[in-house]
Amino acid sequence: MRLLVIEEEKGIANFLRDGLTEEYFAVDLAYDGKNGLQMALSNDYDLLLVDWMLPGLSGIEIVREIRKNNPNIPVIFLTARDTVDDTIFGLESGANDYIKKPFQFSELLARIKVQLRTKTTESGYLVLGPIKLSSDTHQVFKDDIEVTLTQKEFSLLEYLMRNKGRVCTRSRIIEHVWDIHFNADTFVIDVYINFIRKKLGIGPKEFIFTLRGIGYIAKDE
Amino acid sequence: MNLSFRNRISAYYLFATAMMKAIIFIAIYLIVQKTVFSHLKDDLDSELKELNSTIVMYNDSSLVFANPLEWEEGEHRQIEVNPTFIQVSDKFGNTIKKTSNLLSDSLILNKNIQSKFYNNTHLSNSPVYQVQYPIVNSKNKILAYILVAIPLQESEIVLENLQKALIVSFPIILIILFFTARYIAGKSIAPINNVITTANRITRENLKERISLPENKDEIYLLISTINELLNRLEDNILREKQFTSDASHELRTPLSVIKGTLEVLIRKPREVHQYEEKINYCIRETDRITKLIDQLMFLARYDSGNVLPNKIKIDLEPIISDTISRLNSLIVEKNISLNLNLDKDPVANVDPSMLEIVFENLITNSIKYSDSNKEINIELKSNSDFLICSIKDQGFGMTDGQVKKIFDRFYRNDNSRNSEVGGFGLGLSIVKKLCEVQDIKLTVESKVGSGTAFYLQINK
Repeated sequence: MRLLVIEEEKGIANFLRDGLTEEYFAVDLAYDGKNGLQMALSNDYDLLLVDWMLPGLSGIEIVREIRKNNPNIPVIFLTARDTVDDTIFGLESGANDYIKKPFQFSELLARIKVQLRTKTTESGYLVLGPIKLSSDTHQVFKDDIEVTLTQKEFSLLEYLMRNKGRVCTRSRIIEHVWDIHFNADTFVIDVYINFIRKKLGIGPKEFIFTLRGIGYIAKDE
Repeated sequence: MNLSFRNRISAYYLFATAMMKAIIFIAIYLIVQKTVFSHLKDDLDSELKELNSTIVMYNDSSLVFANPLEWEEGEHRQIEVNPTFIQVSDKFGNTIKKTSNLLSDSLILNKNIQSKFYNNTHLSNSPVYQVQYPIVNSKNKILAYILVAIPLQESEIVLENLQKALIVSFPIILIILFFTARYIAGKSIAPINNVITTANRITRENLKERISLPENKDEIYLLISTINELLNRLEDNILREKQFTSDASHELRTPLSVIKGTLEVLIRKPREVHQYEEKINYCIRETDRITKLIDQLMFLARYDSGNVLPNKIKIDLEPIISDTISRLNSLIVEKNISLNLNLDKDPVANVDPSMLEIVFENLITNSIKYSDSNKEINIELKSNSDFLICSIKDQGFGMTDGQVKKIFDRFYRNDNSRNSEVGGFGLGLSIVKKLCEVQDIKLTVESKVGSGTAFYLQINK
């Protein structure tokens, strides 16, 4: 899951990046509206965290612009404004949710998960054959026995399972699982796929299939 | 009495018209009355004249009636149509001769009055207007009186009717006038009611509304435009206040959010000691920032309340400036800025030294902040007969005219400073302005994008 944080205040942006990275998210930062909008339009993010009061372009303007191209991407506003009118205005202008500064990090995390869950299954579990994955608790089970995965392994498996039945190209996998600063060879994906297969005890012809030169696909077979 | 404006105007108007009408009505009545009686008097006089020629005096002591036919004229015989009663009495009141229409009645002589005399009296209970005229012999002795009377009934009816008409019409006209006046007054103060309703609608929440101006540029137009201008000023102040509160809350919340968030993330997982140290030190720096902001806000609040007065003394400004510069030395060295001082000899002025120090510190810090490395800052102090003129010029980024207008607004930072490492809260120049105001120092700014900014202080000697 890859997030973009558009936040002028570096202190806030930094702890958001630190905290969210620890929670298995790939996090990109933008400190002003112009850069933020550009990044949001040129990359494929799963969720945006946008500060309302930004130099250059305001949070509202950014959301309006992004909605033109990508009407479904979840956006959460971060703001120090605290009147009811402000809240209503923020939500009406296209944000999915709204959190006031100073906020609890855990609350923000919960709100982010709520926004992402709506994109997944009702039960909260992603299922692939005997494999079950919970985005909320970061747990993976095979035949109801928990399997421990690292951050990146988990993110990669989650991405493949979320897109079950669809081809995940190598570049899209990189975009969604790694953050923007990752410039290494996409070979790293193959390394992580091998780790995942080994830990789950599945063969190369089971559930996660290699499409040579293209990428991977997850299927229930 | 607590009457509405409208009713008060009507009441004043009514009182004035009632007085005038009363005077006019009384005058009309008196004039008519006088006219009526003067006609009657003329009638009596002509009758007297006629009679005089018929009465001849004999031997200065007895009377002879020369023309008895005169006494038999129709008007003297009948009572019903325009009768004229004539009677001659001796000086004791005994009737000598009278016209037949008097029948058994006789006219009453007022024996005490010996000259020609008109009066209102009664003849067998009906009112008559009567004249008595003495007949005098050559020795000026009264022989008898001629009495002539005509009935007053018709004249009295005319006067009575007139009186009735006037008395009845007086209140009716007044009532009509009152309602007319009330209607007109209501019409003329209708725009004021409009002012009241609109003004009542305007609250803190909808200060945008204005009272619509009437077409005529009259007193009400003036009143409304004055109220509208007052509302403009109020709205401006309230917006400013709202902006300030919102900015202050944002500036206070941001470092709090940073501290809270950083610490929350920090304790989610066990970490290395150096990580704890790094984050905690960072949080300490953030609390310092909050403290500094609160100090500045308190400073402004104290000056806003207006009870801080400058402690002015005559003092040499040179040490104040050089002290400030030496305190800022590390910043100057860091950016490798060359600072040129050009001060006149003995620059003495009447100022509060501690306040002026804050002014210089803020202005010079700004100049350093908004300059690139390796630039110059020139500080000049020129003395003339009344003032010291101090200028602080940098070769920094400069500002547009629009930005210059806002730099003294609280929490204003132009976008390039927000984003850069310049820091600060945008309160420094507000403080400078306040301190200059309380010390009567005139502060002006000149700036040009790309070539720098200059601040000028005109300080009273």
